[in-house]
Amino acid sequence: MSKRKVRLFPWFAYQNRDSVKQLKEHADELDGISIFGKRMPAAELFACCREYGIDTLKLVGGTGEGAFETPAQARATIDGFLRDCTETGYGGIDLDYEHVPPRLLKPYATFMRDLGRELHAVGKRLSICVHGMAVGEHGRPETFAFYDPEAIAAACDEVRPMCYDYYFAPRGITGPTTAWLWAREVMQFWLQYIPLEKMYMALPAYGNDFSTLPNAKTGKQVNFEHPTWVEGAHDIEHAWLHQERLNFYRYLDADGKPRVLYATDEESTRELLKIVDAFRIPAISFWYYQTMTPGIWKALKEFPGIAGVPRLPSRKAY
Amino acid sequence: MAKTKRKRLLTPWFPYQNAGSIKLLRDHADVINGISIFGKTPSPEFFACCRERDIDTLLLVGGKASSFDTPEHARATLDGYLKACTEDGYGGIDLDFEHVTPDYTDAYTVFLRDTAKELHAIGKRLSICVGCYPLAQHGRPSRVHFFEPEVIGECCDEVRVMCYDLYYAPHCLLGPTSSFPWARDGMRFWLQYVSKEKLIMGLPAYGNDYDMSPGAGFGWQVNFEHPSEIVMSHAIESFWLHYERLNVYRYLNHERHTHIHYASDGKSTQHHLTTVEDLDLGGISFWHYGTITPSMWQVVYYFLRGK
Repeated sequence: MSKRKVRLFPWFAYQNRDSVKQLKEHADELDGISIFGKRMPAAELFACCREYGIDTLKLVGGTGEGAFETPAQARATIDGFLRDCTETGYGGIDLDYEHVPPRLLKPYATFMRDLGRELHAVGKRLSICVHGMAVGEHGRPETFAFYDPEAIAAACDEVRPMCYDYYFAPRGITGPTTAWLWAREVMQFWLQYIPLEKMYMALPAYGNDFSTLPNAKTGKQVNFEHPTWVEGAHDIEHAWLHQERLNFYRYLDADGKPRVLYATDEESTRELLKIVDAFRIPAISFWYYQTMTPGIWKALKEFPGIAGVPRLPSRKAY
Repeated sequence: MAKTKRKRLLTPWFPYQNAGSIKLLRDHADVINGISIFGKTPSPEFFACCRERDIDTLLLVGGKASSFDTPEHARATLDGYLKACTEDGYGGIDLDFEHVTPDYTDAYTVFLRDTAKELHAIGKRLSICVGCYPLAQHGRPSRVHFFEPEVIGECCDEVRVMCYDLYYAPHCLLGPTSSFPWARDGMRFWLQYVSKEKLIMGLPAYGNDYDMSPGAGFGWQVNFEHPSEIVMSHAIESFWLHYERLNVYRYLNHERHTHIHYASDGKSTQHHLTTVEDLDLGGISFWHYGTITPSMWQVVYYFLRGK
């Protein structure tokens, strides 16, 4: 049975055996992890997850090209995922194809349907990460996206709208990674298509930091909550952005260069959790576990969950 | 087609300064349905110009709770409004009380009802300026406001939603004066209480500009669209904020201080106008007429006339 009324299921970066130690720090809080990294997790990680009752998914991604463009490619990809689940110990697959050409919308939907059916047949689960698309941002989804929301709803057990990268710092000059009004719209959009019980709200565990010097190019995604975490930062000024519901800082770095930080912290997370509460979303995720700060954990621990929402089925029921 | 029969109205706030204001008005008189006047009391020639060109006039009035907190104060204020309408020639009153505490909600309700009744009795109109209050910003409106939205819907002939000052530059470090989703959310809020024909979407004719140097203090409201309009600005970079639907610029000023400028321009205005169309609102206004830029006029003309 789920340990809490709202499931906590972040993405988890596996690097080496130290990752097991990292997992244990909050193992009691976790319902599941979606694992990514260059290395195959050690058997010890899966054993630890079993011990603490933590579900595991394998995060997979790419552009989709070469993965499911043809029936033969799709077959090979599905076979690889089935092997991952049956031989390695993953409880399922978490799809994160993010830059698929729209021409692959139908092959992707077919691939998803087949993958879902075959995973379910061996008692495994299918999850998917979807963009924070919103009508306010993109117009009708069929004009740009490679997603078929109805196919996702039918095939997947979990749908994770990524409520971050509202402004993707490495390609912009200013702006936060998420904003309350936008995140709410993202969830409203996906709730039109996906049954509530399958919905996750995926939150950022990083802020956006920019130099304000002209020609400074683009910004950085950072996992500090406050400029004081940066060595040598000084002349820090603060403002609460009431629409975005997050803390904003203007400061000088150690070299005296001006910067701004749109923070992700306890307060911004607490505000986003109000959306989880308002829509009765049954589960949340973070990108990603290792960058979740003490402030984020504090907001989570104080979050009361959702009164009245039925508990999810036990893991064995999947 | 007569202007008053057009589907959407254009009724900007108008700063009256002197006889030259008549010329300013004439520049766009053919698309204007009304103006809400602030500044000096206009000359009879100005009112004559408005009548001749079928432009309604409102007197923009503000004030504190002391304008209506007792029956005597309310009576005196109301008498002043009636006098302005009957003696000066205004077609009505545009209320702009903005910083009153919720303690005066009941008194303001009585004042609104009495003002509407007495203005209507002499053939004049009551308009009101209200804030853009989506839940994202303020939560339930009754917690922070001094008026009842239902009463406003009942009493007023025009409700002008000020879809600006989302971030009030003179009191903050960074942020635009308006944004597409915020303004749309605000208009949806008011549609719950006010019939769409009465709703006027108030748009900004100014942007927000900030010196990003620590210690530089708060920002400025500015009426340039692009940093290139500032003498000796340089190293200008632009970025389209896809969700807010506006242009932001990073540039150096003449002292080589980095500035961030959130623009209000033709493009941002055009996106706001889609909200007017989508929600089928009664019309638009601008704060204020004197700072509407050529590119804004261009999209407004196209919006109103299709060319």
